[in-house]
Parts: sequence; structure tokens; C-alpha cells
Amino acid sequence: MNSILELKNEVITQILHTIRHPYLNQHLQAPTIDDVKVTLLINLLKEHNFTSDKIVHYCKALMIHQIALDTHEKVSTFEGTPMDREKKQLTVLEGDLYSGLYYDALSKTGEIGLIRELSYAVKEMNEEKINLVHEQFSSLEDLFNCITVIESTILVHFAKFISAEESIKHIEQECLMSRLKKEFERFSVENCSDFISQFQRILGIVDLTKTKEELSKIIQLQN
Amino acid sequence: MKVKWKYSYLKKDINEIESTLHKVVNSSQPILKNASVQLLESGGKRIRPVFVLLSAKFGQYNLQSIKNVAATLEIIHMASLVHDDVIDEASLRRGKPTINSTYNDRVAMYAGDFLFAKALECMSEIEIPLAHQKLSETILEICLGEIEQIKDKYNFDQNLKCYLRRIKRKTALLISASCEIGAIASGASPAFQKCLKDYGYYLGMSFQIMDDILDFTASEKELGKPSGSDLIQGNITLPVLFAMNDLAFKEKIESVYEGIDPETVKPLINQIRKSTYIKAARKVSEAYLQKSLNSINSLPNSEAKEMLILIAKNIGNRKN
Repeated sequence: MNSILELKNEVITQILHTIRHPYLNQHLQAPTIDDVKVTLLINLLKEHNFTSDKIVHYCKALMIHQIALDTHEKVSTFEGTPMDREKKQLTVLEGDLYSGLYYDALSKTGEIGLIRELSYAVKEMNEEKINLVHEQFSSLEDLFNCITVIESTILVHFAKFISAEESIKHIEQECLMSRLKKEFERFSVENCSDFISQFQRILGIVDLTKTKEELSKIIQLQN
Repeated sequence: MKVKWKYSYLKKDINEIESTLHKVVNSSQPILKNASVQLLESGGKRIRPVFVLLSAKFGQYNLQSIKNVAATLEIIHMASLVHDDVIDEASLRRGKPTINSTYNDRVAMYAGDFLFAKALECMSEIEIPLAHQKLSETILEICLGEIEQIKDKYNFDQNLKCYLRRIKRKTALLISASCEIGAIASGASPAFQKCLKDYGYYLGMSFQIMDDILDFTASEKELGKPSGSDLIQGNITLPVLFAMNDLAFKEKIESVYEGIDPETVKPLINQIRKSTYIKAARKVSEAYLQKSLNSINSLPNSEAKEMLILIAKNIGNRKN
């Protein structure tokens, strides 16, 4: 099991096996596993000569943690009917369960230092998530810095933990780009998000076509 | 679980825990900072830290180290309350506005995740893998229990085993873990760890059964919510399980459904309140309490042991 593809398949298989829960699977959509982040992690670990077992172990733990936090992003989208209410309740617990599974995976291997490092990451991430909703950013640079932390902090702190500081810049750029692309795709369907609201306010635009154009330009520039 | 800490020899240490809690949950993000302070100042009896400290007295008691475990257990409890308030769409907790009502569900979710991360950061000061393993297993079981509780709502075909497993996950495990991890972190002997783990487990079971009884017997004023709320919300507790042994009673109970007018359920609740089933449930709670006390028989006599006994007896006599 040496190729990126083989490792990725093994990571995904193990994640799905670990997070399976009959009742949650029956009532909730399967969580999304971020392909960009899995690939970044596998590359990072391969570059630092980790064994396949270690690569799968770290990718599994970190990605389950990421899925846990992403799952909680869905909570506010459920409103209204009792069915929606139960979905909301289960989504809260689904995220909590995955956070527990991440902690369980690392505590079983006694990796207390990594637990500490990733706790800093989650602290930073949640501070920035609230900033994205409630702060008024004065520049695109500030907005992109916020998004970069939200998207990359888990991987960045992990890179620090394995003394791979030289990879941090690349991880941050890839994660930012991936989020901008997701925002662009989402914008085409929903026309709004916290990011888009901030983006439009900073650039002083309200027009949807103009917003799409500006976002597309920035994605091309960043690429 | 009220005990007069002001008379306790732990008062100084509890104050230290309180200041540790404030330091740990601090944030440079103003909303998170306010939310955390709001949570810390909304009261709470800090019973889990107390169990950690008392259990640590049976090993090498070092407050500078053990305070991290005590704060961790309390912050995990706080994080779970923040997310529970989102689940229950609660607007008040202990008479004060919840984070989801002050801000919104999103902030509450972020605040809960932030607190959980801070709890693990605090716990990472303890370099004992076994302590982390016990804590992670406990967290997982609690989550599974909450999912089970949602699954079992208005399911009237439950048995006693199902109920006991649910309350074990809901309440007993975190108290048991507080005692066990406190003992592990202080290097208490494995035999003492087991005694304290069992003490916490049985005490938690007794406490939750008593809580379920009080849901029928205490007044609305004492409970801070209408009597019989558990049944109205579809949670099948021990008095109801006993009552369902009577088939006529069972038929009435099975008529409760989600969204039912609480006034309709009142006669049924009154009937359960006056029934012998309350007494039967109380006996089960007392049996667990006795098991809890028996678990620490072999611990050496000390002020800590006396406090553990006092807390257990306090639970047995509580009225709300």
C-alpha cells in the first residue's frame, strides 16, 4: 500500500468503518470527507517517511476530527418540522460522537502531545468561525486570513507537531483555494454565505453577477 | 447534588479550581469570552471536580496537577450542556439565558466545540495515557447514550435493562469517570481506583433514578419545569416502567405522543405520583446508594472518605 490512491482508499475505508452508526446512518446524510485535506495529509506524511500504518492512523484521526467540526456546521440549517428537529438533534450528537472518536483514536496510542496541539487548532478555528459571522472585516486580506485559519489550522498544527514547518505555507494556500472554490460553487446555488456577505461588503458590491465575476477573478489570481 | 462546601476542608482547593476554570475557558474572541463567563457564572455545583479532588486524596495529592483533571471534567460537562441546550431548544438554564438563546445555534455549537477543545488541552497536562483512555471511552459512551435516548423516545416497549443502560450513560459514567480518573491521576492503587470508580457509578445510578422520581413527586417550583416533563417528552423512566407492568396503566401511558397537550397527561402523572411505583423506584435508588457506600468500605478512613459518604447520603435525602 504505497500509492497515494491506495492510501486514500484505505483511509476512507477506515474512516467510514469507524464512524458507522446504524441509527445515524439511517437518519442522516453520510458526512463528506474532504479530498483536498486527505491528499495534503497523505503527501505530507509520505514526504516525511512515515510508514503506511502511521499515515492511515494519523489521516483517520485528523479527518474524523475535521468531519466532527464540519458536521456541526450543518446544525443551524434544520428548522421547522419535528422531523427536522430530530435531524438537528442527531446532527449535534453526530458531531460530538465523532469528536469523541478522534480523541479515542489518539488516546489509545498515547499521543497526548498531539491531542494538545490539535486542541490549540480547534480553539483557533472556532474563534475564527465566530469572527467570520460577527466581525466586520476591513480588507480581503483579513477575510482570507480568517478563512485560511478555519480551513487549515488542524493540518497546520499537525505539520508543526511533526516538525514539517516548511509545508505550512503550501497547506494554507491549498486549503484557502479549496474553500474559495467551494464558496464559488455554493454561490451559484444559494447566493449567500457568511463569506459572501463579508466579501460583498468589503468590495462594496451587491450585484450577484458582479460578485461571481470578482470571486472568479480572485480564484484565478490565487491559482 | 448540594453539599455545603463552605464547611468543607476542600474549600480552598475548590476556589483554585474555579480560578483555573476561568483561565482555561478564556478567549480573545469577545463573544466566546462572554459565553464562557456566562456559563461559569450561571452556577453549577462543581460536583465533578469535587469527586476528582476527593478521589485524588487516595493517592499522591498534588493540587497543581490534579486541578487540570478537575477542570477538564467540569468543562466537558459544560460543553455538553451547551450542545444539549441546542438539542432541547432551551432558552433558560438554571434560570439564566442559554447561549443558543442569547446568540444563536451556531454560536452555541462553536462555543461547545471550543470548550471541548479547551478541556482536552487542559487534560493534556496529564501525561498518563490510561487517564485519557478512560476519559475518551466515557465521552463516547455518553454520546451513544444521548443518541439512544432520542431513538427510544415514545418507545413504550422498553425493558429495565434498556433504562439502566441509558441512565448509566446519561449520568453515572461521568461521575464514575471523575472518581476513577482522579484516582488514576494521583497514582492511587488499582484497588482504590476500582473502589472509587464503582462508588461513582452506583452513586450516579442512584442519583439519576432519584432525579426521575422527583420529576413526578417534586413541585413545579422545585423542579423549575412542569412535573412529569420526562413522560410528556417521551422519556421512559423507572416509575413509568414499573407502572407499565399494569396492563391497564400501560394502555394509558401508550396514549402519550409527541406534541400532546401537557394538560391531557396531568391525570396520568398524578396517578403515577400517588402510586406504589414511586416507592418501588425509590427502593432501587436506595439499593444503588447502598452499593455506592459499600464500594468504599475498604478505603482507609480519612476526611475524604467521610466527604464521599456525606455526599452519597445527601443524594439519598435530596428533595429536589
